[in-house]
Amino acid sequence: MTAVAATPRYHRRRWRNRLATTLAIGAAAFGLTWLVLILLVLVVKGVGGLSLAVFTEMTPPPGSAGGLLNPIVGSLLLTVLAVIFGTPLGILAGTYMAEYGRYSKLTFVVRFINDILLSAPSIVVGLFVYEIMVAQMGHFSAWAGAVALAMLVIPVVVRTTEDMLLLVPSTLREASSALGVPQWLVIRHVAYRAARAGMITGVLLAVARITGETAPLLFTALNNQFFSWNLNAPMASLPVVIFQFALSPYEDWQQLAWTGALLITIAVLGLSILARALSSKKVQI
Amino acid sequence: MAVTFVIGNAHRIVTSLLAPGTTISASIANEFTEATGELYTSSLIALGLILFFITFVVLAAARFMLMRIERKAGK
Repeated sequence: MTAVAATPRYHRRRWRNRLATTLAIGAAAFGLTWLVLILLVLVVKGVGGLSLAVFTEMTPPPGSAGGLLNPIVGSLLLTVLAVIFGTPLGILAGTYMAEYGRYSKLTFVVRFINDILLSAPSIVVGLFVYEIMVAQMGHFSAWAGAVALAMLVIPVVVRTTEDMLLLVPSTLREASSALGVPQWLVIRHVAYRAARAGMITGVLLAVARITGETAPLLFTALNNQFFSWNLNAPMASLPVVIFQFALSPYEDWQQLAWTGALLITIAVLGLSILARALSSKKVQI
Repeated sequence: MAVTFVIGNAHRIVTSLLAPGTTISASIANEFTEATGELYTSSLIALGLILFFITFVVLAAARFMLMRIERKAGK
């Protein structure tokens, strides 16, 4: 050991190692710094406007007091609808790709298209839904907004479902098939059970992704100054309200935008942490 | 989309990185709901098509590279 340590090459390598480690730590710290800064600014600017009125009052006209009740409810409603539309489709498609047609040409094509949808600019999705729904129906509606968000949910869920099912060892499936269990039962009781935590994580990640999306809602759900349960009419949502209020010249609107941004960030952060916790629990079992 | 907040939405090709400009998403986001007339709307949708085409090409290239790596690993 000491004989090796004395050679100059060993010293050189040690120094190179230290340099590389320092650079890597520096890069990680650089990335984290921005995250912390963003959170810090959000908290500093957003907390001031946080009050009970934010959750109980509607978006105000400029110059008067108000809250964010209608966009909060709108966002929740749109997200829930999008998940209801998107999740079954995504899980079924992912199941086909992993269980029935794992090596088929169709799966290859669907996987490619799904990858494109996964990273398609969300504003293009908004335009598409505008053309097929809003332009046909003649008015903006919450339905169109939910469909646009569902189109963002589907690729995420397809991807995670497929990946998680592919992780389930084939020996598990073979063992139950050997007992005479039909394939649909194998999928439901063996594959789904083994992959459940990962699949739920996928849905949570999809929710985290769509709660912050402004672009697909701009031309579909539009915005609404008032509270509304009517899914056939325009509906307010947090991202769109933030977009509108943050770019406005009115101070109270800008304050509400900061508060809304803080709320969304807390929600997304909470969801991501929950997803993380769920997926790490899977490893332990 | 997030760029919309800060880019300034100026309709020109900028020669300076410090001057306001615009991007495809920012243009669509800012102008689509205010676009009057058939031509304006369809031009913005055409912009969306260009944007989608760009993503498509980049992703197809990435896929192609991954496939080549996989084929090499298989050998």
